[in-house]
Formats: sequence, C-alpha cells, structure tokens
Amino acid sequence: MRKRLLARVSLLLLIVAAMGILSGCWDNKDINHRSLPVVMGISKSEDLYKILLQIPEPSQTNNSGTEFRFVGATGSTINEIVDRIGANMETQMDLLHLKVILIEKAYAEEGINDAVSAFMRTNVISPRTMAVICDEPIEHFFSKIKRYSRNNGTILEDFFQFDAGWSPQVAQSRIWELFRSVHSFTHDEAIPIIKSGSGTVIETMGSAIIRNGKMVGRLSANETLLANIFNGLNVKGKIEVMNSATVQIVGNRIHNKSSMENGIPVLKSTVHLKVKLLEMKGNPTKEQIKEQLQAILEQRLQNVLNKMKADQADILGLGQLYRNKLKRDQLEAWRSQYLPHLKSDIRFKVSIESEGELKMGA
Amino acid sequence: MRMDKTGQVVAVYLISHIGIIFIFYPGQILESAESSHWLPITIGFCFYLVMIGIYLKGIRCFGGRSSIITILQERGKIVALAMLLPVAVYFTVVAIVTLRAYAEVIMSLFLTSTPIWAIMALLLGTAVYIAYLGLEAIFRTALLVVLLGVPIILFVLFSSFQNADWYYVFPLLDKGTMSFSFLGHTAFYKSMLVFSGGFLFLGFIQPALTYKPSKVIVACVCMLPILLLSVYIPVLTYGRSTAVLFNLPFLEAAETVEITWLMFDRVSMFFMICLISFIMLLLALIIWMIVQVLRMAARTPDWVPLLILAAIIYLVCLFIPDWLVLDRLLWWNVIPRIYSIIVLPVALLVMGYRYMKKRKVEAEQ
Amino acid sequence: MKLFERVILRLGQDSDFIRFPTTMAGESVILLGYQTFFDFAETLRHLQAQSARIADTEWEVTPRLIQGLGEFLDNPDADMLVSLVLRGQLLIWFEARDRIISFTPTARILSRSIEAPITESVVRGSISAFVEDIDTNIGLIRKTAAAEDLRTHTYWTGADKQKQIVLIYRERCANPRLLEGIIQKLEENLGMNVQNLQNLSSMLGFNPWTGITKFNSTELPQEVERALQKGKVVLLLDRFPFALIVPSLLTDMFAVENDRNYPLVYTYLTRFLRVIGVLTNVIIPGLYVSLVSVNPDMLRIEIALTIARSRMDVPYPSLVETLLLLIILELIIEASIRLPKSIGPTLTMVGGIILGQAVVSAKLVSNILIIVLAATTISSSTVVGYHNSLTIRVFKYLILFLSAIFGLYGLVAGLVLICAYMASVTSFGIPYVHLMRPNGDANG
Repeated sequence: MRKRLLARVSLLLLIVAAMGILSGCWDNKDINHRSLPVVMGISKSEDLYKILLQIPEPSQTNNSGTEFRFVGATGSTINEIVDRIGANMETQMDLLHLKVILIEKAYAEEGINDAVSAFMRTNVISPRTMAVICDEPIEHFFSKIKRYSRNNGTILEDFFQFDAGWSPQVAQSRIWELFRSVHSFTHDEAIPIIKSGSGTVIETMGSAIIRNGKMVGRLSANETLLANIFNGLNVKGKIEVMNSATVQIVGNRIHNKSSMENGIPVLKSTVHLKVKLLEMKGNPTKEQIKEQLQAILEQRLQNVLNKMKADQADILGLGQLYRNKLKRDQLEAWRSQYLPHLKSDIRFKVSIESEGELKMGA
Repeated sequence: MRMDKTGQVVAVYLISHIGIIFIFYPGQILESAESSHWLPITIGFCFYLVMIGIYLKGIRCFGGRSSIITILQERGKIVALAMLLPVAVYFTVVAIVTLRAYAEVIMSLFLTSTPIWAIMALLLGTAVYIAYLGLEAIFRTALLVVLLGVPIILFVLFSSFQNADWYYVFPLLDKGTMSFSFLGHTAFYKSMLVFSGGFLFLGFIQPALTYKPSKVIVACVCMLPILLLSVYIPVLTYGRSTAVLFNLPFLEAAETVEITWLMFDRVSMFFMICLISFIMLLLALIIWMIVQVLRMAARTPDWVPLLILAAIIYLVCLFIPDWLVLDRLLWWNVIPRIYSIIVLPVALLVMGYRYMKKRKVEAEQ
Repeated sequence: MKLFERVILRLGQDSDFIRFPTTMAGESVILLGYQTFFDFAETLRHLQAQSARIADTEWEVTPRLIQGLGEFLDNPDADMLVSLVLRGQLLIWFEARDRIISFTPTARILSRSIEAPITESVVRGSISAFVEDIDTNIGLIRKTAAAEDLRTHTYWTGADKQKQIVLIYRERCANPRLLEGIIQKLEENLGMNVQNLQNLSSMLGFNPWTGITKFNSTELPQEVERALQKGKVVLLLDRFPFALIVPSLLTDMFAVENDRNYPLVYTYLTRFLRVIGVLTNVIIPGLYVSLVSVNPDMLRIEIALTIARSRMDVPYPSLVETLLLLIILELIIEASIRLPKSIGPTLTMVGGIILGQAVVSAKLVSNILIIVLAATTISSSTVVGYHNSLTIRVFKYLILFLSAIFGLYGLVAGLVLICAYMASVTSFGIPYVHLMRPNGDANG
C-alpha cells in the first residue's frame, strides 16, 4: 500500500513537472503580448509591396480610449513583410483579427489575385476580412484617420459593419467573396472605394468593379445602391433624392425570370419597392412621384448593366440565374459570350407605403 | 442483465461518421464530379446501405446476439484469425491516418506553434485511455459527448447557410456526372473511407451491448442528409469551382459565417471542437476493436496489446513526413479496406445462411 | 457468579458505570449499566412499579409476567453482556436464581430533536431532516415512504460489533443485483470499523481513489423516499444525520426531489440551470486561459482589446494568474466552512470585495479574470450536494492545465476525458451515467 502511494505521488509530481516544461516548450503568448492589427493597407510599386498596419495599443494609464500605432514596411511578398514587421515589434503579430484590407487603387487596377489567394492559403487572415479600395495614397489616408481614430478604435471596421455604420450606398465585399469571384464563372464583386473626408473620417466614392481580381470600372454611390438592392441586400433607411421628392426605401423584393432565346440570355425582372415619403418639393401627386422614381431607377440600373456589359464583369451575379439553363462549358464563357448580349427588361414597381405624419397635400 | 442500448449504439454510430465526414468527404466528392454532386453521394450511400444491411443480416443469422469474434471462433481459431487479421490491419492504418490527419488539421486551425508530436500525444492518449476503460465506457462517453456536441453542430450547420447562394445548386442534371464518369475517378473511391470505419463495430459490441438492427438502419438513413449537407454547404457558399480548391471545403464555408451577437469570432472553431471530440471517440473505438482481435491471438490482459498498439501507431505517425505519404498509405490500404467492407460482410452472410440451414436440418431431425 | 464479576471487572472502572443492588418482587437483584445512557431515576421507578405487579407471582408458575420485564438471557457469555451494556441496555441479575434479564431502560435523549436541514435548504417542501439517532431516522423514512414493502436490515459492525448500520430498501423496487452486492459486501466485511464514509466505502469495496463520490448523502426523508422508489438502496449509519443513497448517479448532481414541488416547467428549467452551472464551472477558467494565451483569434476584436488592456501590467502568464486566484477562492470556500456562521459573512466580504479590488488595482491579476472566477465559484454552488461540488471543483483544474498547454483543443480533450471517466465509473454494475426510473426499469 505504502509503495503504491509513493508511486502515485511520484507520478503526480512527474505530471506536474512535465506540464511546467511542456507549457513553456512552445510559445503560447498571452493576449497582451500580441499585436492585433485591425487595418492593413497594401500598395505596390515596381514589384515591391508596401504594407501599412494599424495596430491598437491597449493602455491602461489613460482611460481616453485606445492608442494606435502605425507601422509599415516594404518587401517583395506580403507574408515576408508581415514577418519583418512582426520581428521588429516587441510583441507577436497576429493577423487573424484583421478587419479591413485597404488596397491602393493603382494596385487594384494591376490585379490583386495573388494577394487574395495568399490570404486564403495561409489561414493567418480571416476570410471575413473586408476588402476596400483607397482612392488616394495609403500613407496619406492613414495619416488622416490617425487623427480621428483616437476616440474609436474600430472606426474603419464600423464603417462597413451591417450593425454599425454601414450605409446602403457602400458595397460589401469580403476576401472570401473576392476569392470566389476569381474562380467563379458567373459572379463578380464590387468593392467599395473610399478616401479620407474633410468633415467625416471617411468619404465614400462609390465602388469598383472587379473582374478576375482586377479593377476594371467604377460605379457611383447611387449605382452601388441599386446593385445592392438587386443583390437582395436589405437596404432599409436609404434616402433617394429626386426632382420632386425624397423617399426612404423600407422594403424591396425582386422577381427574376430568366430564359434563353436563340442563344441569347433574356432577363425579365420586376423589382418591388416599398417606400416612405420624406420630403417634397412643390406639390407633386403620388402618381407623379412613383413614375419619376421608377424612371430614375430604371435608367440607373440600365447604366449599371451597360457598365457590366462593357467591362464583362457580372457584379449583379446575373449569370447565377442561368446556371440551370446553360451547360457547364457554356457557363465558362458567360462573361465574354453571353453577358454582353443580355437582353434585359427590368421594371421597378414602387408603392408608397406611407406619407409620413402629414397628409399628401400638406 | 441484458439491456437494450440502441440509443448508445446510434450515438456511437453517428459520432464515428460525422467526425470523418465533414473533414474528408466534401473534398473528395467535389473532386470526383464537376456538378450534380448528389449523384455520387447517393450512389456511394446506397452501396454503403447495402453493405451495412448484409453485415447486420449476417450477424443476425447467428442469432444476432453475439460478437463476430465469438461467431468466428466457433469455426476455429485459425479461421477467425485469418478472417479478422486483415480487419485489424485495416483498422490500424485507419487509426494512423486519422490520427495524423487530424493532428495536422488541429495544428493548422488552432495551434500553429505547437509541435505535432504533442498534439498527437494528447489525441492518442485520450483515445487510448477511453479504450482502456472498456466498451461500455466508450458507449456511455459517446452519449455524453453527443449530448454536449450535437447542439453546437446543429447551430453551426444552420448558420452555415448564411452565405448560401442557391443558384449554385445548378446544374442538377449535368451530362458529365449523369454518365457516371465519377466512377472512374479515384477521389470517389477515396470518399468511401468515411463509410468504412464506422459500421464494422456493430459486429463487435454484442452481447455486452444489444441493439435493434432496424433502428440502426434508420440512423444510417439519417446519414444521407448529413452527407449532402457536408458537400452542398461549401458548394452553395463558394460554388464548385472555388470549393474544389480547398483542402477542407466545409470548414472554409463555415469560416465565412458572421454572427454579430456572438461573443466569439469564428463559428467554425466550435464545429471543429465537436469534430475533435468525436474523433477521439472514434479512435478509441477503433483501437478497442483492434485490441479485441489481437487478444484472440494471445490471451493477455487488455492493457498489454493496448500499449503496444498505441506505441506502434504513435511511432508510425511520427515518421510520416507529409500528406503525400499519408495519401499513399490510404491507397495501399485499399485491399484490406475492400476486404473489410465487402468481403467480410458477404462472407459472414454466406456463413450465416449455411449455419441457418444446418440448424434447420438439425431441428427437423 | 463469575460471569457477572467478569463484566464488572471489564467495565467497572468507568465512573458512569453503575452497580446497583436492590430488591424486586422480594428477590434481591443487581442492576448493571451505564447511567449516561438512561434516565436512572425514571428507570428505577418503572422497575419498582413492575416488581410490585409481579410480587406475588411464582417464577415457575407464570414466567410470562417476568418475561415482560425484558429478555431472558440463556447461556450468556461475557462478551455478549458487555456489548449489551454498551448499547445502552440495563442488566438485571436475579442473584438467587442466577438469571439475567436485559431490560430496556427509559433512554436519555442524546440527539437533537428533528429540525430543518442544515446543508440542504428547502424552499417549498417538507423540512424535517434526519438527526443523529438512527431509530428516529428509520422512523422518518417509514413515515415518509409509507410503503408496505420497505425492508430494513441492521448490521452490527466493527471489531466489537458496536456500530450499527441499517440497510433500507424496497423489496419490489430495489435493483436485485445492487441489493445482493451490497448485502454480500456488508456481510463479508462486518469486522471492519466504520467511523466515517471512507471506511464505509472500503467496506463496500469501492476504490478509495475514486474522484466521484459513490454515496449520495441527503438530510431529507423525501429524497430517500424517491431514491428507494427508483430502486436504489439506502444506508443509515448510527450517529450520522445523513442517509447514504447507493448508487450516486450523474443525475443526482442536477436533480433534487424538491424540484418537483414546482410546476413542471420550473422543474426542468431549474435542472437545466444546474447543468449550465456545472458546465460553466468546469469550462470557464480553462476557456479564459485558452482564449487569452493560446487562441485569442476566437474572440471578437473588441473583447480581445479589452482583455489585453486589463492584462496590461500583469507580470505572469494567464495560467499562473488563474491558478493564484482560484486557490485563493478555494481557500475562501474552505474557510467559510470552518468558521462559525456569525463570522462567515465577514470573511466573504474581506475575501471577495477587499482582496478582489486590491488584487486588481495592484495589477496582480486582470479584472476580467475576477469576473470569470466569480462566475466559476458561484456556479460551483449550483450543483446539488456539497460532495458533488467537490468533484467538479477538482475537474476544472484538469481542464485548466490542458487548456493552458493546448488551448481550445486541450479544453475539448479535458471535457472528453472527464466524460469518459464519469462513464467508466460503476457501482455494483450500475453505471454512474445512468437514469434510474421510478418504476425500476432502466435506460442508459
């Protein structure tokens, strides 16, 4: 009995000792010894990448919020640069919390395919990271937001979050969606374009049309809104300005009918919009407002479609509607063979849900 | 005291399949066919259903209340050894591959800086401990783990539809797939791995745990939606042409899920956690079965073959340098696998019929 | 008589041992016994009254009347007499006739009266609890269970057979294998001394190192009633104000009989709450350590930054930090059990508020950890029965250590290990993870 007890005790001691050794064996770094960058800016000039990281620095001394640190480096691959920055920092770099990747416009035009697949491959960056194009040099943008971000640690992220500061004119695109668009036959993405604003931190500049990882065109903010509506995003609370009135969209529903006629795709769509009247100029009737709104929207959507056809980029994912009508090899040629010839008949049906607190004539 | 433990048996059955399916299955199926993946899934599943049916029927011919080890031993120790040793070899390789592959997955998802030997040691250690506790403990543990894990699994499965684009289902009837071209693809046969580890245990557990074969078949049919989900969630999220690029398509699809009200960022991790716990039990079960076969050859206390086996598995895993070797190991294992999931059940059924006939003749005399 | 002299020789040096010569019905008798066990004056009065009644009877003619006094002992030996005296009997020796009667005297009350339970508080339900006196306890059980098939067996254990164990079961409900096993073990090990539950557990052949208590102890007769109905077996120990229910099952952690005094919804909600409590207690410290030091990518960025800020100047790794505070909390729990009830709250305040506040502002631990550990400690008390809370308090350290090394993966491995351990525990063939239904049928 005594001997067994001794054996047990020594086994226990051994386990405790082993634990002490093991847990020190590989570096499990505590969270306060890690840097968690939230924004990464990428630009490229002459085969050299330049990367800027915005890293929140927790400080307990002043309760005024989060301090930020901006670090950057240049190099030939993204991972190498991140490693180099990490080596120079006193803490371990942990990119999984990255929320926004800012891509300089010039680099986006050159093509971001490699970067996107690198991000997907390494698993050090979450696929849910937002991709955004920056319409000015990244250093400039960062130095601008430095001033504002003192009070709000995740200002850039919040701008794109559904449950925070997102507004319906801003496109939504995440790294995984970009990666999908690179390999999908029938789906392209629109990435928001921003630059630093004068009054607000960020000014939205519409969005970029990305085809196969390259920026090939632009949409204005209003067109982005339409694209969002068409993609079925719930864009409540959006204000639309017309000659005679301002309305707020409170509900949208789309009905698509796709068919093939003589090898040409034909699309008949009806977009049902429910709107709320906010403001009127003069005294238009309900019918007038409706008709004007429908005309404007149809015109705008036509613009978007024309841009899509010209750029051969299917940001609305219209090709998805033809997946059951085309064969696989035909789908592969969707962008080049079919999309430019698409015949579309898209109608908007607007119904004014409420006139607000006042009666129509008031 | 004989009690019906169908609940536990079904729990173990589900665990041993789910743990493998979501990791191995979608990648292989996506590779085997360009579209209309439901067809290869259904074909593979039907084949599996037939095999499990034959196996259960075979056991039933012998009264349905004893383990195949005793059934075969009644026909002589040599026969039993000859018939079951290939199964043991097969299980050993499955254990090695599973251990190594999951350690790799864990390393890439959770613990990038932890050495792989430590990860494998914990995984194998847990499995061996559970196997040491014995069959009934394995099954009761499975019940507890299912109770804890299934809510999480269901939650992740439902939330994975967040980014689904239903148009990616099409084309449903693709000419290439309908011509059964996937039958010529090795990936299709590799996908059958997920079926093979799981059902043989049904023959080992009686009479300690008795169950109703009909209920097991019902549970087996429940696997079909799980298989479909595991393949179609990545397809709906990414589209086949993108999803086929991933090593672990399902987890990548789960990675895209964003749930703003949750305090955690990565829902896919919770899913992975449950899978790991399932895999620990599967490994324990496999190891227990190998030990049962080995103990037939030499009467020793349970822990001797257990420790030797654990040491062998661990050492082999340490010496596997990369996925390529793992893949080759899987390929070499095809013969024992075919034996285990086709020859053994069929042989059992044939023997069972002859046994029944003999009994009938004896009864008439 | 030599026999009687021997008894006196063995017990006579005790100061409370009396040897009282008197006359009964004209015969001179000697009374022997411990006066601390009974009310001597009352007993004597009783005896006198009896002797007046039998004064005229002849021993040979009407032995029955005399037998009414107590039990005649034929061929007694010294050991037997000593043990009778030790159990509180009064021996009456009729000197002339050389006969001994074992008389049950008016007992002195050596127990508390029936009170409300101390360790299990009942909000709505019967509140009489067991006391030290074993007969009272059996009475309570008989009164509550009110079943015809209720059986009791008494075992006198110990080297000199002085300690009483009573086995109670219901003939129709009890699990036969369990009952047989317990009876066999008890009869085998009658010679063992049973002073505490460890002794009893080795008497029943349980592994002394088991991490899960094999007895579910309760102070409440209605719990016993339910357990009996479910086919369990109950042991009562003399001078032990708890009934010991064998086997103890996993469900006993979450369910008390008293839950059923509320509407069914609340019964299940309360039990679900306890399950959450146990899970919280076991998982949360490990989860904190693994999220802070191994897998911070699981956290949302806002929480990650908050934790990072609160851990800013903490000098050691999160495992040490957590262990440090956990041990202090365990000390507080232990101390509040030791202390009298009047001082307990003071200690809680000092420990909880002052120490907690000071330790945070001194930057020894992060304040998130204080919240985590407060949640842990609170949830460890939601479990039913202190013996069960000990179990889960220990389990959480396993998970804590594994989490510190392997992060979330270690946490899962720990949980599976705990599940496996619990699944492997059986008592008399009944697994710990098992449901025992009232009608006796079982479903694992």
